[in-house]
Amino acid sequence: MTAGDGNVEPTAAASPEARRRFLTLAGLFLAGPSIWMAHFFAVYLLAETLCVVDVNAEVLSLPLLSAATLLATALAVVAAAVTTLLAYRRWRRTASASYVADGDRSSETEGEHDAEIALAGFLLGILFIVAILFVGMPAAALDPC
Amino acid sequence: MSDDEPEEGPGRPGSPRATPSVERPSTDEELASEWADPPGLWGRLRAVQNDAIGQRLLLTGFFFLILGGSLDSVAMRLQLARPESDLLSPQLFNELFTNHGSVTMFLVILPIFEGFAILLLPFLLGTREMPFPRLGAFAYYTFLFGGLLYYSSTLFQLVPDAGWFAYAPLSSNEFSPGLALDFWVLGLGVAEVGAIAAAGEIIIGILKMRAPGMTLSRLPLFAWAMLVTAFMILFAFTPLIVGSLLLELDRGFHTQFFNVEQGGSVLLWQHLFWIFGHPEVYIQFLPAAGIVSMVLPVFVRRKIAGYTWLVGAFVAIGFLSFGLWAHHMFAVGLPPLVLSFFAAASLVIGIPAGVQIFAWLATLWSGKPVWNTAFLFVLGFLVIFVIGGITGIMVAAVPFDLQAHDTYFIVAHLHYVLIGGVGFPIFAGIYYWWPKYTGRLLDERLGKLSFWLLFIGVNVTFFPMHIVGLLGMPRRVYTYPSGLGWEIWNMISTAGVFLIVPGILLFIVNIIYSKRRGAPAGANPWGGDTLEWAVASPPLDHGWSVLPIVHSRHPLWDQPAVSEGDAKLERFVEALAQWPLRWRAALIVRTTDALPEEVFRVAGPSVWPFVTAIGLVTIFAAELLKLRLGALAGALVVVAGAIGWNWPERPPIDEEEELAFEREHGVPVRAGGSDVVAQWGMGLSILFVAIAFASFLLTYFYLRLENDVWPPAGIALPDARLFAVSAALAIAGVVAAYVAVRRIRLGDHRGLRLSLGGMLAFGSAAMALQIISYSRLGFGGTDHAYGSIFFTLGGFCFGVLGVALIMGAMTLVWGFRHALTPRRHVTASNTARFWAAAVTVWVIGFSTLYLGPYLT
Repeated sequence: MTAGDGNVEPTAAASPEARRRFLTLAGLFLAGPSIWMAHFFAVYLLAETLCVVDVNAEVLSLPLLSAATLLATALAVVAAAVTTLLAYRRWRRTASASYVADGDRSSETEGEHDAEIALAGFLLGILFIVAILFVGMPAAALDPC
Repeated sequence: MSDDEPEEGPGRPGSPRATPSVERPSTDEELASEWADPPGLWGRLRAVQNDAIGQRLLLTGFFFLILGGSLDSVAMRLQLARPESDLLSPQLFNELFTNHGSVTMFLVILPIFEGFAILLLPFLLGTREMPFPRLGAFAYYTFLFGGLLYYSSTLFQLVPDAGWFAYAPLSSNEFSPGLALDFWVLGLGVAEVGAIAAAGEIIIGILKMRAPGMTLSRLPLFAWAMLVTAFMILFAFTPLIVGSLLLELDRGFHTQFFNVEQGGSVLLWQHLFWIFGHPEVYIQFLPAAGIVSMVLPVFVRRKIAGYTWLVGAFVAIGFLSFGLWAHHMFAVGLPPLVLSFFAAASLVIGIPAGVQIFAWLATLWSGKPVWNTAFLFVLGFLVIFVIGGITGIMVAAVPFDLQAHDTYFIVAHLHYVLIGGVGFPIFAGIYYWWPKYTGRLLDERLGKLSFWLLFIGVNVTFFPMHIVGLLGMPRRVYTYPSGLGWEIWNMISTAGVFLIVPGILLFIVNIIYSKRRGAPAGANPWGGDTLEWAVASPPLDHGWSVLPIVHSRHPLWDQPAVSEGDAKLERFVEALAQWPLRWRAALIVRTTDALPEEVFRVAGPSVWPFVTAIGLVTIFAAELLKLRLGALAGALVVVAGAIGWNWPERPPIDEEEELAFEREHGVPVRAGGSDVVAQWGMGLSILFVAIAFASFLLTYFYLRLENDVWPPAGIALPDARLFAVSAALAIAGVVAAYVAVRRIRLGDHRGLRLSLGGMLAFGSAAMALQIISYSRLGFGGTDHAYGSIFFTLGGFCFGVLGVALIMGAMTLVWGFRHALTPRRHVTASNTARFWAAAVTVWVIGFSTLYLGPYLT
């Protein structure tokens, strides 16, 4: 709020709590897809780079690429599993909270809303764990370059 | 939330009676005239109202569909009906398939869906306008001018003929001399700018401009789909604009990006094109999925099954679609591991697509269908899209794709997906929403006849292409020999077109008939559940006098009244119907809980978006004609247009009146223009710059990888000393920008002007030093791909800092005019944000160019 607003009571608009809630929900919602995307571009750019370098200069050996891809995949799966679990917990907690607060319209809204977003985050988390595994696992079997 | 059919509540799903409608206060007329566009031709050029812009986008999209989608395809099918036919020349055939693909992918589906969004969203979301009406108008004009510039190639017999993907080196000067390809790059380039502009408008509209109580979990599914789509447009079209720029630089300025002999790479073009091109398919499909999710529940009289699953599926498709692009490049010789990454992502995307299909099937299964035209188009969509989706999974597998690549199997697949998955939902959406905007129903008998012609016609035309493709018929051949077993299938395909054409003609007849004699539609002819059905058909210019208060995902089915709720909120929405009647006030809500955050004045009619679009198209047209001075003139018009467009108007009320409303209702008022919307707009602009910058950086490193020696023999390593000083000066400029914001917050106008002046001085000095450094390089942009990227990435950094300087200069001018106050200073804080972004680009960009060659 700016100096000119000094004589006005703080409004709903200026609540840092609402901002925090938005950021937490957005994080839980988008964590799985974002981790997948980071993993995808990391392993793709690494493969594209090392395959060219290897063919051109024979500096790096190919098993390094497969190992790095698998390691990145393991890390990404763990990270996505953690965020998926967090989303799951938030979903269960908010879903039961909205049940308890039945009758009180405002808190019902909040719990119900957060439960929906957290559930979507949980579902997305599961899907993207599968996606990360799909993308990374071929490195265990294929000749990389 | 229960997904069951509601037992109680005023509106039964699907029942045309008894859904609640809006209150009509006595201020209706006054509000409508405040929001209406001015009359006459001049008024039309200044129009910004969302109904006008949305309808123009839709009509323009259909105009290009008839031109490029229909006429071309009939001609091509006639040519292919018989073997060794000489109806069309090979050259004309090349031009036709290039035009057909380019027009449908760039000029048809996108404007149609952005038109749907701009037209519908304010009503669906319960708000009075889109956040940047002028940006919407600008997006429309750029679409129109870009499309016309592209199409003007036919007048000069210079029709592009290198396919809708314009692969290098076929699209290079060497193999495509003349201006035909320049029409493609430059005309569509203008339209791409329009697509991005509209996307920004749509994102902020959905996230920030909703009715009180419409939380994210109550957002209509069409809005969710458009939100994801708009982000995808931002992320996909920006690399394409960068790619098009590089192609045009190669063609017009003789840079070497795609010239392998000079260190360039032809695959670089394919990457930049397909990282746009594949998400583009989902950019077209997601809005269609949104429409289906809106139409289907109403006509089966049941709430949508799996709302949350559908939202998750939209988001999942949005992300996954960016990991698919190289499946268009399976045959170019990428490393096997890379192929497997893209094959995996292409297969995984079947999961969210399947989730959608099952959610729709579950809705259908448990409902009681009303068999009208819109519903039939949804059913047709389900059937055809599922077939197209399954062949999509087939071609995601690398070994199968290597067989099917460049055959008619792919043509069959993509038309099943695009006509079934996109075309049919567009028709469903038009039959569904037409009564809302015209007040008249479309004729059901004509509609059903048109549906069956289209449904049978599409299958007769495209199904045989699967077979002829598996038999080995390649795409993009103007004719084929007899005796290969392809004749009968091609003849059937061509026969199918003669079912599709009357199907489309009947649709047009229906539109004209309904416009003149259609049966009147009430406010809610289908018994719909979403907010747009509460307002009159056709709606008033401002849409909502009393804003709705939302308690449900299906407000018209679950709520007894549209604007009822918490006493404080009720007082607030009633106050907004009575005040202010002298200016265009709209509501911003908090993103998560949709509580009122700000009342602001939406920009009004203006000719500047039109002028800016003229300037933009002038730049591109001048480049086409190689009139470089013309391009400079166009750039000046763009700058002048942008300044006129954003010139701060005197707020219609003073700060005291704003505070009075805020004291009474607890919601801040910004009659000078919204802080929240301006900040979000700046955030998206910075995101756009960041994506473009990332595309340039990837280009740099891609070229670096393709070259063993970097810089090439004969070019010395760059001298980074002047750059170090310029980077320090640029950073000092950012510090000055933030000091300026601090000064104006404290009410120190002199301090504001001094710090802004310092910021401009630091920035200009940084630029000057960098220009000196470039003048000493000893190589040019045409010497080698190294020189090309050195000058192009550098030019981008100069461009971004240049925009920051212009923005800073304007803020300084407004500082002198005392237009900034401690309460109204968002211009200054936005300038500081953009400076921070521009200087980040400056430092990272030039560090890459000057230090990269030492490190790698």
